[in-house]
Amino acid sequence: MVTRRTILQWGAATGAGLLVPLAYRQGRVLASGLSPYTKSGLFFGYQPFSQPLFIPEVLTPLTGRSRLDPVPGAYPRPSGISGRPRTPTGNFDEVSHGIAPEFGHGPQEWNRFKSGFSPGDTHEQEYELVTEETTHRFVPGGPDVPVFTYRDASKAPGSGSTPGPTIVAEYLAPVVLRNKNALTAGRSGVNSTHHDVETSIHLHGAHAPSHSDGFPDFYVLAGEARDYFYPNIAPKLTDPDTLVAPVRGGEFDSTWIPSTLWYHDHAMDITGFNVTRGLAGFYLVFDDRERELAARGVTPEIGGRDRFDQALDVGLAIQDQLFNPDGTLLYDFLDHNGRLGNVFTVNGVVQPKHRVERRKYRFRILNASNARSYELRLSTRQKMCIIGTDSWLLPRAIEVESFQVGHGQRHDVIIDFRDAPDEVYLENILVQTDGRGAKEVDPSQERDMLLRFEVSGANSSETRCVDGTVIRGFKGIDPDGQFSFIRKEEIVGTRDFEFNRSLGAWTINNRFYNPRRSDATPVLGRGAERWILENNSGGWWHPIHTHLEGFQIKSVNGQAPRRERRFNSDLVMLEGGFVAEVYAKFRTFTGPFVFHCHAIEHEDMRMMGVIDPTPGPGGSTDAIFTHAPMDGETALDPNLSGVVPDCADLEREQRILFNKVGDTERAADRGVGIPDCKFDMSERGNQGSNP
Amino acid sequence: MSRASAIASAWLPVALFCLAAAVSSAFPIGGETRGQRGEMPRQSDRFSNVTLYTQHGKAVHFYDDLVKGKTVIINLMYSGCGEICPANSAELASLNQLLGQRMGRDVTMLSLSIDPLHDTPQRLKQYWEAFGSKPGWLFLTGSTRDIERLRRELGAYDLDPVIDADPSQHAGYITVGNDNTNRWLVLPLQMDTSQLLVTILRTSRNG
Repeated sequence: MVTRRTILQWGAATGAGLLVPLAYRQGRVLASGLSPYTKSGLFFGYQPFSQPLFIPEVLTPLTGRSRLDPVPGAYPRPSGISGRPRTPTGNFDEVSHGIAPEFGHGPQEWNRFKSGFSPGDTHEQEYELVTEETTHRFVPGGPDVPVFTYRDASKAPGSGSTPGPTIVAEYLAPVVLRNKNALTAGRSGVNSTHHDVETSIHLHGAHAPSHSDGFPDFYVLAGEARDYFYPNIAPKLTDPDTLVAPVRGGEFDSTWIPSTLWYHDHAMDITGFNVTRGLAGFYLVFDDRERELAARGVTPEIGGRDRFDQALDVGLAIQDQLFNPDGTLLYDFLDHNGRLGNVFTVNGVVQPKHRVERRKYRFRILNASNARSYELRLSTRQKMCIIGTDSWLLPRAIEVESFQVGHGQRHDVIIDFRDAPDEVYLENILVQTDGRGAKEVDPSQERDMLLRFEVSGANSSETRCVDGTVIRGFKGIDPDGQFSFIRKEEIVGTRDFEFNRSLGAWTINNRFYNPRRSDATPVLGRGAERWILENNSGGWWHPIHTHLEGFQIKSVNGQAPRRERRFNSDLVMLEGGFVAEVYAKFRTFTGPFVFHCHAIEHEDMRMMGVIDPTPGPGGSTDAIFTHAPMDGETALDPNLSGVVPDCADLEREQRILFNKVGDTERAADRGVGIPDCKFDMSERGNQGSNP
Repeated sequence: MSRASAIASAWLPVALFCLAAAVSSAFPIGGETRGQRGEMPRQSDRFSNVTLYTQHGKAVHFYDDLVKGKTVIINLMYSGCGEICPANSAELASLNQLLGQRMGRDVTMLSLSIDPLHDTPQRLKQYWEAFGSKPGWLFLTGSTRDIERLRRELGAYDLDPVIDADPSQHAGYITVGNDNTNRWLVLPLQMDTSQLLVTILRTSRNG
């Protein structure tokens, strides 16, 4: 039990502790005398690199009788697949948040997604996750710490892990993920926050419908369920291409075949808390090219969901954590600079070890931290072969000695241990002391050591991954090349976004996020846009992330970005004063989607904007900015976007009730979002007693 | 026929089938009970229980009298502040109006002066009256030391000392907290009013 006194004492003793990370390093004695560190400076006496790396299970798809019931899109009450909100019931079986309307194009349409479609194979792959609290040990012998987890619904309550189970999907094979949010104030399971926690799952890097994208207020309310529909497609090359209109022909844009995604919480106002408390996991997509790469020996033995080998293809989610004196997780809701941790974890455990043989491994390195960036290298200075950045494979591999991974970014790397000594550390050489951003790369600094590889066995003689090894290949250059740059001639317009600090908060074009206002309304599937992203907020770093589609970074401060960042990204790191120029296309799905700063405390303070791609007016070829004014005032169009029609409808259907405290906000949280009705509660209902 | 209803009717037979087939399954509950994992540290444990004075001249303790067990909207202001504070006070007045009967009952507004030398209770009363003498809205002053301490505890500081020294830089946002449920967040006051309102209502919910 943490008393008020201890917190005060601790807070006073470590007032600067929130700002200056007491980086928990190998062999270093932290003479702070603070719990949870012992006098030797060890975290609950933990000897670094003495516990094994945790590797999350692969989530098992539901088959036969265990398939989702009710089936996706068919629920006990009439709103069915429309995704429209309903009165909350607290009954998971009613899946009251529904499923994306795009799912309703029906099984006959599935073959537009699936290659090698076989008759009768009309179902999507189904999964079910429960969001709940469980306890977790960050170190052996340490306390059982309450965390939030995504748990395989077929497993026992409390058996969830952080990171959550890895979802392995196949390109063009659709997935429906049912999510039940059990983080209630006491109606299900244990929840030590003792209040309802809203959640929203964002599949980071996915090309998925708005309803399934984790738009911040498209919540999964506590005690409710939502079906997320992930088609696992790349956008189509044909324009305009929307699932709202009859499906058009044309090929998928192979430049954007997804690979390394991650799913994490994105609930409005509370994302930072939810993510640091454990709500994140990997989502990997395999395709024929992946199998070819394995056959060619470029990557280790990976080959689709049946042969995915976690011994050789390992996700590493890096997160810096902060703890209370009793070892529970510390989250300061009012530290909006950005939560910087002082204990490094990989896959939810403090500084683990991982046994490897003298051969090649693939590591999907994810920075799952809220506010910290890393510059990662191996202690041997051995080069790593980058085969993918963020959600996509590169056209050709790039070898580097170190790379920067901003919060939310991913690097897909091949590390070949054939010539390695017995111990190799993964270490961070980027110095960061507060939430503003990193200071400098210091190769000589006392290093933040994240993970120890313990190497054994005889040297393998596998093919090496080297600089220039063909991965997806350049279209028209490499045999069966799949990657193309977005060409300058495709650009139909430019948008400018300025990221500023103003009056203690962060703005985008001097505005704050409003989920019902569109800040960019591209014409769906038409050409490409050039976005200028300018960080004028002083020394603050802002990693800028777009949903629905990634982008290609053309320049940073007028220069070409680092080599590995010149292809596809879904997140560009804007260091203080930086200007980036990126090209993007917006295809397939109508909005709303968000783009935002991935420093999660900034995001929670509404440093977000809305992208609402819509079909061109009457299908004409009007200039894009006639259709998409830059006034920042354009409301989302309920006839096109995934929001409910209007406030009058809501009142007629009695979805907004004022007779009880709690009803208004619950109604406003429903399903796919509700437009802002200018309700004045001094004049409406609101006469009921306070329960 | 709208797009949504067209889709809905195409699926109606399936929906009806499932209505018949639907079997309610109880949600499995773990063996633990409430309290076994200890309590989360409370955000308000960080707050000093300093003595402040309201615009009505009443002495109050910040935590015990104003925050404990309540949902609060806290902002920093000072009456001599040029443009930012009046605009934000006007926004608070309109939120107060929208919250109607909940003001003072479910939600209280605490406007903390960061210029306590000049902002006497009398002056703050005039300021409160200037913005409509709204219910459930307290303007607070106190010793410079106590106010500065509270400002830090509320996270209302800037890492850049030059910006931190400019009091107007701390007047742009509200801290919304529910001490019963230990839910706290910070929102810019220049956000859309109904967005602010919806979040305040969600935060004020008990449980």
